[in-house]
Amino acid sequence: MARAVRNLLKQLRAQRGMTQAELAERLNVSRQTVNAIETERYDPSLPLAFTIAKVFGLKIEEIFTAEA
Amino acid sequence: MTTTTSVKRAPIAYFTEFGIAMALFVAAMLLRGRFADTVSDPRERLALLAMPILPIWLALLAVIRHYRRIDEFAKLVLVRNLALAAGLTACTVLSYGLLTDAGFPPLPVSFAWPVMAAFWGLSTAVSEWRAR
Repeated sequence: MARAVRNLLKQLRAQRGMTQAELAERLNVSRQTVNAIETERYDPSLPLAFTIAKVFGLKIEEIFTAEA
Repeated sequence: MTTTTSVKRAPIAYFTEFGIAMALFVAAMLLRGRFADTVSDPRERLALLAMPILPIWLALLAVIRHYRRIDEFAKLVLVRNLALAAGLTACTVLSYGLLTDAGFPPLPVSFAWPVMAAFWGLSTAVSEWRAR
């Protein structure tokens, strides 16, 4: 069965008034990587997911959810 | 230099290093073509004909260094594009090899490199377009 990981990155970024480039800078990745995660074309590694959670002050499971 | 700076500067560093390697390669090929027939000493001739080898390895080093600088998603895209280019090149070279049996002119083995570079460039361009 296909697995899909959904995320709230785009909404969280918008809430904080950040651009993709600004978030990319804080995550130490490229803007294209932020875009790929937001559009769910790419699931980040666990270390990057932890960094994302830290930047937003949330738990990983509050940002990423697995869809059966 | 911080890691952040390294990621941001990765494309500039890559194009600089790869560009230098390619410029050296072109220069070596020009020298090779210009003087290959005028050098009679076997050792000097070997050194002259082998000159483009070093820039080729420098180009590979530039790609490896680029891989180490970029983030995880960019790594995935780079490896995926390289694998696709390698597969397409293998199919193209083998297909053409079979066609030489039917009378097509044989090409040197080194012909595979520009073919792979073209496929790599094409797959990278498609990836860049999709990532906009």
